[in-house]
Amino acid sequence: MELDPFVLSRIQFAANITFHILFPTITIGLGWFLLFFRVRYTQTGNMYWEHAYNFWVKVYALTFALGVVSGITMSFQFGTNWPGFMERTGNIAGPLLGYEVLTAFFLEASFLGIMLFGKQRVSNRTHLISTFWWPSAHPCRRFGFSRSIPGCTRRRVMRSGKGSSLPRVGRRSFLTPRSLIALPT
Amino acid sequence: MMLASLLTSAFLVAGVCAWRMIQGVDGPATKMVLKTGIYTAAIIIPLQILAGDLHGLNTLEHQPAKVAAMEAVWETEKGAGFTLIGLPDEEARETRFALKIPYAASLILTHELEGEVKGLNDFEAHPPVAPVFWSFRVMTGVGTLMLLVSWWGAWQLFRRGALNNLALRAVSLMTFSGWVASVAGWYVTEIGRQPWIVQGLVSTADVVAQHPTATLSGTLFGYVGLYIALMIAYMKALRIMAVKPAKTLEQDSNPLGTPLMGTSA
Repeated sequence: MELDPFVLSRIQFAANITFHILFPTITIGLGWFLLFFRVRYTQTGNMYWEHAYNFWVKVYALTFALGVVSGITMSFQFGTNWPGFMERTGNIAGPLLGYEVLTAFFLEASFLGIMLFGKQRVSNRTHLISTFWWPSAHPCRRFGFSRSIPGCTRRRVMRSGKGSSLPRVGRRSFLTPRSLIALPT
Repeated sequence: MMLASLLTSAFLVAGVCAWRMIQGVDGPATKMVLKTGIYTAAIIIPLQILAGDLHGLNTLEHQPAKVAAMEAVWETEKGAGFTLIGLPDEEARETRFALKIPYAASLILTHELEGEVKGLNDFEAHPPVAPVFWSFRVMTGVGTLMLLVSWWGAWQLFRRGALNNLALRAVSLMTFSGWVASVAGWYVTEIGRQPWIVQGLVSTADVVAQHPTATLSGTLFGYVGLYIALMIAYMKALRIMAVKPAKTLEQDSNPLGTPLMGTSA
């Protein structure tokens, strides 16, 4: 294989997403474990569940930090290495990326803040709710439950190519939330 | 992805706990968490296999070339065999040393013995075969291991309430198995998508920026170096956390941590 810009860009992107995805695969799932430990503690009052939470929340924070750091460079590469991608699919990918960042800042950041730093400052109930919101909001941004979710949908549009064949007038495509949800995985 | 993440973290949680028990730095909380991890993994893994099957059907419908590469099916055939292992050779257009289960590929993909699977030779463009083929086998192989280990562990927990030494070792070896399976699965998806970035419409080569090779090699080198350093730091930090002996209740140093239900246990 010749090391032309195409191959090098692909290796770089592959290295980037490979490194990045390791951390979200942990945080998305681990959030539910943290919630489970908190709920069990609240139910039973058994301090050992609290110990479990205290141990794993540190692992969680560490993993999340690395996920964020490695994720930022991933989006940059859409611009630096794959400018044609946004040019072609920007109509669809742009708003989705926007939504992704919006939910990341509003939902994730707020609830993560309460979860990590607010334990002694808010009531147990508020903390529990934040711990619940966190694992639900996090995959919402990324891969998660419903089909209208950005990370997934963007990849869906990329994969199936249906997004670009939607009816359009000029540069505006008629990509409604409904047609996005209907796209195949 | 949700299931894969739950599975990955279940094995991480169980694996770290098992490691701590082997090292003798565990407390009562460690056993409780180990149980949670193993039972979660044992419940999620069959669901993940089912989801993977559904995903395969969907991929066959929308990206048949990816499926053909996964199974290394060269010619379109009915009742295609499933290649357990072999060496796909893209130049000779055949799989060398293939060990096949007759009809299995058709059965898995179409849920019919005589179902038709479109072969790689009948596509105008198809992804590189060997990486997709091997990634798929790594993913399913690790998945099978996960199934065996988690069910074995769950059975021991159910029967005796604890894991024996051998099972503890197996679980701790599987700590990062979720990473391997997820990354391999992602390679199947993303390499299998090539040469398209938008299926059938935009090819990946069309959208790349033509930077000088020297620049790209430089950034690639920088990225990879940084990732290696970060990964070492992450593993070290994780180890530092894990080797700390578990706190007992008397040593609980949480300054404001008043028990919520009024029991100080």
